[in-house]
Amino acid sequence: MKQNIRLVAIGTAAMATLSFALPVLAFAAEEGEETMGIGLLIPKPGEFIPMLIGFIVLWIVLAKLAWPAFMGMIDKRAAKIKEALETAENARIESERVLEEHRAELSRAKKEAADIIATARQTAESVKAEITASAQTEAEILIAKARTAIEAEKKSALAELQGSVADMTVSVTRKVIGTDLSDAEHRSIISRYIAEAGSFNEN
Amino acid sequence: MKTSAVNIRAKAEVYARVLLEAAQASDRVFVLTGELAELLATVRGSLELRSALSEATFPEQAKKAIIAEIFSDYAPELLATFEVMVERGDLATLPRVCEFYYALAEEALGAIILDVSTVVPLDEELRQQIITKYSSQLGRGVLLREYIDPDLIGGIVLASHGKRIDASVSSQLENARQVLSLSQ
Amino acid sequence: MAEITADNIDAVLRRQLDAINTSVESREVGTVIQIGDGIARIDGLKGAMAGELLEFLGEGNELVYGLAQNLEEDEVGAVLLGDITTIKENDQVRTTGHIVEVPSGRDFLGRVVNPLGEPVDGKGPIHAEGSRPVEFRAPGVVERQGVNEPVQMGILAIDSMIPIGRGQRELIIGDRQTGKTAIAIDTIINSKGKDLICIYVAIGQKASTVADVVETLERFGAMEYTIVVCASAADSAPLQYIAPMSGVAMGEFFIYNGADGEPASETNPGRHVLCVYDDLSKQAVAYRQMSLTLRRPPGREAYPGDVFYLHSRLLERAIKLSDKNGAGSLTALPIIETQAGDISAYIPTNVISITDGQIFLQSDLFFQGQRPAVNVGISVSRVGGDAQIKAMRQVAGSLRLDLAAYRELQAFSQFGSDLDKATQDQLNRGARMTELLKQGRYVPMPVEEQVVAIFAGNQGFLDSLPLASVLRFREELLQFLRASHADILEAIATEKKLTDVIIEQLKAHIAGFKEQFSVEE
Repeated sequence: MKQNIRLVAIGTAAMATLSFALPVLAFAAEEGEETMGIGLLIPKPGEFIPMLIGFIVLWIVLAKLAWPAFMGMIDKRAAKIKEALETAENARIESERVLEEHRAELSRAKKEAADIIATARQTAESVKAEITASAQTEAEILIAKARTAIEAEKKSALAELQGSVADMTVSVTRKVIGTDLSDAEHRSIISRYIAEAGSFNEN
Repeated sequence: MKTSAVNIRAKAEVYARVLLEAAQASDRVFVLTGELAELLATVRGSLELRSALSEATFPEQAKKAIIAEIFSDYAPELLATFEVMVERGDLATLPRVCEFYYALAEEALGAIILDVSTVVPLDEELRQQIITKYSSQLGRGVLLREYIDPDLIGGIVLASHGKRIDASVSSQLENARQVLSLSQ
Repeated sequence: MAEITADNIDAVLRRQLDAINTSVESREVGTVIQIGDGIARIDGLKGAMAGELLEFLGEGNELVYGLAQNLEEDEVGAVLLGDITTIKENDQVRTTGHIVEVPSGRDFLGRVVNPLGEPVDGKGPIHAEGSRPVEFRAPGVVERQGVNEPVQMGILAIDSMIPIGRGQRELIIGDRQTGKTAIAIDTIINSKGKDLICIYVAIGQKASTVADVVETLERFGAMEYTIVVCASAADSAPLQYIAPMSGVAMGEFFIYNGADGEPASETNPGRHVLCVYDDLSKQAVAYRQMSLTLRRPPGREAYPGDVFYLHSRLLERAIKLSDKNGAGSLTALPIIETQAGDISAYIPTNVISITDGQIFLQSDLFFQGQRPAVNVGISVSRVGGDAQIKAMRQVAGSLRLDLAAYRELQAFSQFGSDLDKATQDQLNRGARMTELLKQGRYVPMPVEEQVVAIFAGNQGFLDSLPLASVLRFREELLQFLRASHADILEAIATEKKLTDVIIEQLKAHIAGFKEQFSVEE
């Protein structure tokens, strides 16, 4: 279709060119028409043939030389336009894709942020629990320690008391025995101890 | 100069034999065992005395004077032996001399010497009790060397040949004190 | 403890007096002929045994204990364990018929005692459940079994490459100020909740240093399973000499008795004990002093000839008992101080040859900031590998290789700067691994965290980090895992090995963490 339009256009253009190229012939034809009425409409072979030949020659020359260059230019232009259209289309698709991607990225980032916050919250929670627990155990340990310290203190006080009581008891006993025993009593103790005492041969 | 252990023993034996013979002559074998032990304790107990007697630069006369001053109560044969020991620088042999003399004396006396410490003097009955108990136990005669020691508070301490039976009230009280203060 | 009342005293007194009255036996008595330098020469006592406990009756009937050491023809040389000043010439000495024993028992845990088992922390008397001889012949082959459980010192560099098993003897050796005691203390702190009773024997140290140690242990709650046996520099040489033996004797009470205090058996398992001797070089010095004053002939470096035997019989008491005997264990961590890194001195060579491996600490590493300053190249553990958990073995193998290659290349690469990529990678990895092994004081790591840390290094997660961020990465990673993925740590701890599932999970978690880890502070 396009091709046909182009052909017609080219044909018209060629005719115009031809009529410019042969101005004398055209003028002569005009004169003939005026004189012969209807004969004006019928081509006169004398004029017609050379014109036809001229036309054909021109047609051939044009078709051979100008036509391909012309067509090449047209084609190039068409291709350019097509390419431009295609690029535009691609750009559009690309931008759409990028947009889509960005959107996904954004949502993912949002989700990630939420995740991080959640994790952080969870971490904080567990850290808090840990700290609380450790503080609690520490407090318990402290209390237990204080208790054992008190216990130890009490024990050592008791031991000291026991020691001093023992010391006192013994020293009092010592004094009492030392001063109160008569010689006879001493001798009876000695006698008893000799009887109880072990032997030199042992161990 | 340091004398070797063998040397010391040999010398100690000589001293002990001479001392025993002298003691036998004056019939003081048993008495000398006690005096010798006391002498040893005195010498050991005082660093000043030891260093004075073993000091080589000290004049012999001075040493003799010291001995005469401190040990004047002792039997003359013991003092004479001791003076020789000091003079010859054999003070280190004294413990061995003591040991040898003990062994020789017990052999000569045919009995074992038992040191007995009490707070009050023993009476005959107690002496008999001890002698019968230990002579039957040891299978030999027993001679008692008696000491009075008020620190014992009561009871009796028997000692012989480096062994000791402590049946004194004071040591028992000491034990009791330890047990009481440590028991829980 | 019984209340003291008049009745009570009376009854006790009667009972005790009765008991004494019936037991008046003859005892050998000698006399002190010479005293000085903490030793006494005694006349008599012909029946004394070597190592027998002697009673010296000092001023005011005060009893001072001594140890019969030299049995000569005429006299006995003894060392005094108590107050020397109350004894003088002519004082009486009695034999006791038994060798030195120390009291021990569960009440000793948390206490500071002297080598005789007497409390020195002012917390009152200690109830002893039993007593153990200070000199004790170590059990033979039949009663033992191989080391098969780890101690877990909590120190990354040691647990990964120099693993120590329960019943092992591992020497800690190094110059002064290289962190020898720190390693021992970290180990004690890390033993919390691991059924390990610790005994820290301080020999010849400043009392203030010991007080510091006790304070630290208390702060970390480690005293409740620890006994500190202290023979400070002010104590006499004999006390310093018997301190490690009495420490191990107190420990032996726990391995030969179960948790209920009854003798250990197949059904009543014995406990696990860790004994730290800090340090044996001072004990050797004390023994040298004692021997020289006892006029024993001096040998190399003036140490007596039997100083090797002294240490070998002490360390031989480290043991892993067979199941039939209750499977208790006693691990010994002797510490030796070297002078200027000289490990060929007498005592260090002795103890190195006795022990099952050694941890070398080097002062140059210490000052380079590599702390603990363990030289992993020359430190070894000869038996502990069997005791390592499988997960650790899985990751530690390549760590060891990485570090060995690193050391080799490091020395080599100092000569040129043109290195190919592979070499650079290896250097890079090695530097990060070395950095990874750094650890502060008193921050022991549980084994599963150690595994994770080394795993992260092995898998190359650290390679892209700057060196300065490695430690922070390790800390934050572990914190992250503890807080958010505690299950995986638990899985490692319970399964004791890295299964494929765990490895995948770990990788994912570490990668995830690394993404959010910011390098700049």
